[in-house]
Amino acid sequence: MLPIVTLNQDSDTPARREIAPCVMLTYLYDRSRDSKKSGAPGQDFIAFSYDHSRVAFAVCDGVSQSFYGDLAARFLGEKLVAWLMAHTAPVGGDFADQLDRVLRAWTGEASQLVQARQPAADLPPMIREALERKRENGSESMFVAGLLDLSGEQLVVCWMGDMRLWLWDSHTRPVDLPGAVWLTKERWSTRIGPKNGVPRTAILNLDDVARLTIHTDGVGNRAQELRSITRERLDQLARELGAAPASDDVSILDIVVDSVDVPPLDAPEPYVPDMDEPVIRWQAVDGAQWYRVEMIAAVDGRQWTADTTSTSFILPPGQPEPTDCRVQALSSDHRPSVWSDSIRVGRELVMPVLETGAPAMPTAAEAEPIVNAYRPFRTDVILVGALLLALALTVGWMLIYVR
Amino acid sequence: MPYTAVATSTTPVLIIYLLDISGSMSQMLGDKRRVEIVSDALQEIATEMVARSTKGELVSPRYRLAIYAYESQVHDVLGGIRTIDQFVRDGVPEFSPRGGTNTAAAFLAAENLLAAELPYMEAHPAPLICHMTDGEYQGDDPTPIVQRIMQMGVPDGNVLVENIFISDKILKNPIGDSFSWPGLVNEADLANDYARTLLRMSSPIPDSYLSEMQEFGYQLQSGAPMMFPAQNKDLIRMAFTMSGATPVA
Repeated sequence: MLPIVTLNQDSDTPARREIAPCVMLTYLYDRSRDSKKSGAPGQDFIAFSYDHSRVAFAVCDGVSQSFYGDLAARFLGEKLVAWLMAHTAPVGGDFADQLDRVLRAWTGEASQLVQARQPAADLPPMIREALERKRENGSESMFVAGLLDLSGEQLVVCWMGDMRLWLWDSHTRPVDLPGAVWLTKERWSTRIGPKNGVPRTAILNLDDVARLTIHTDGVGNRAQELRSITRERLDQLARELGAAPASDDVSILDIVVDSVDVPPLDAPEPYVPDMDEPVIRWQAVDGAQWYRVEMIAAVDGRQWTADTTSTSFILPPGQPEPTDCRVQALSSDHRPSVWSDSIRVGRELVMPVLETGAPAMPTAAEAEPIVNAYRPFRTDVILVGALLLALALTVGWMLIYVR
Repeated sequence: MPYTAVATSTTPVLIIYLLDISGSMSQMLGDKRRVEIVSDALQEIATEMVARSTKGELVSPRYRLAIYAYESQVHDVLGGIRTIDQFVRDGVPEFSPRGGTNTAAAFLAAENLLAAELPYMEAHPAPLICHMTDGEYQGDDPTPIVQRIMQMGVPDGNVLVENIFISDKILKNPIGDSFSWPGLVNEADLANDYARTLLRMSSPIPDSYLSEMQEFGYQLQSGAPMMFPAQNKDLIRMAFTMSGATPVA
């Protein structure tokens, strides 16, 4: 399965350019000022995946008035990219129906995540009450997603909500997007699927499109500045938007239908420095500006990535064990390296089957210190000593009185 | 367009509650005392404000609240203005009904507070006063004070004044369903002189507030006044929902 690249929601990603085999991607993820100040995750989400001739992408904007909008944004983004990437042949006229079906089908799994999400235990009662009210309606997100297929010469896009998708020709002139209506009330809900409308779709010939830009509504009335971008200008835009009173999360994904012939970076060689800690490390790669860690949970196969500028990575708390990890080196002026060999982090549980049919007790594959019930050595000495003394006194008494 | 500024953590909306806690508020309305229904409604709207201010678990201070409980005297319940995240920690106060109904003093306290705050609220949404009472004022007539208040404002609009009249004798015909009620579009529907006075002391509902109320399922008509005959707890809840209907980011 091709990796799905998922940008961190817990931190900010400055403007980066990634050179894929068939396109160049530029992206930025910047949380609102309030989220940065309190260390909270953003509610936008960016994900993409690519091979030698296709790119699937999704940009999502979680609805803050819903239950943990970041949950729906992430879930939906990952699902859309995986589903779109599974289309190996050009899509046909039934794409809209297919999309509507999967958007409804995913509500079961998503609703389980909503039910499982527990607010922090130390929240004041009124906040807990407000969150429980929100939980009843589920988590919601708007989205723009699509599949760019160079071999099929097709661009397929779909959306719900008030985010924006801009198409440009080779002269940076806007290309009309058929059916382009952007309504805040339209969104995807973990509870019911498409809400307040039907998912909108468009299938275009790739001849007309040289570039596409997707952004969330945090960009506001500065969207015209995305017509011509550099990484420096995107970072400056994010700084200015972050200083505005109504600072919102800002996510931008720009895809140029072209690539450059540059060499790839060398692959990192990660290792686990301490088997008792969920950390991987690697030596710095010449020319690398950041690294991407792919994690696959061995239990259920769920895959996602996280980017870091460091040469070590701590697996997030709650990460299921064990997890298989690979690392890739990236920079804005080289092709990404190939993925490293996979290494396993975390302990594997072995479940022996007992012939008696009694419930199996999990045992660790590597010896965990097992604390058996035992009395401390000192206590044993005292008791033995006491017994010997009692014995000696008994014998002595017998000798004295029996004689 | 007026009344379209959104409440954010850096431009929060100021909402001033003026709550009548005179002795008559200990009377029953349905199966609860009027004052208990008011506390319940305040709890309800505070929770709703928290929900509208919450992104994940993070409560952004999009609302600033002041509560004046009045009888013969005016009591600053919160000791000044509190942001919604501060209010959450302290909780909703409980009231003990007593004394008369000095409505003018309550509005005067609100006017003084607004005079002190408005110079610093240039980019903020227009403030709102939510006045709740169950009987005619005693002492000075509050009408001139309210008229002055309705001339105060910020670039987003003049201060909004909402009145909630708790009584089952206000309307000629009772309201069947609060969700389908279009609002007090006809003064002739009122059966009470003081209700007519309060109606004239009420601002028209801005369109942006109407949109927010529609999200809750209410179908108030454009141009309806911010005056609510609260003959049961459903209508009280509706009226308090209106007080928190400033658009938020």
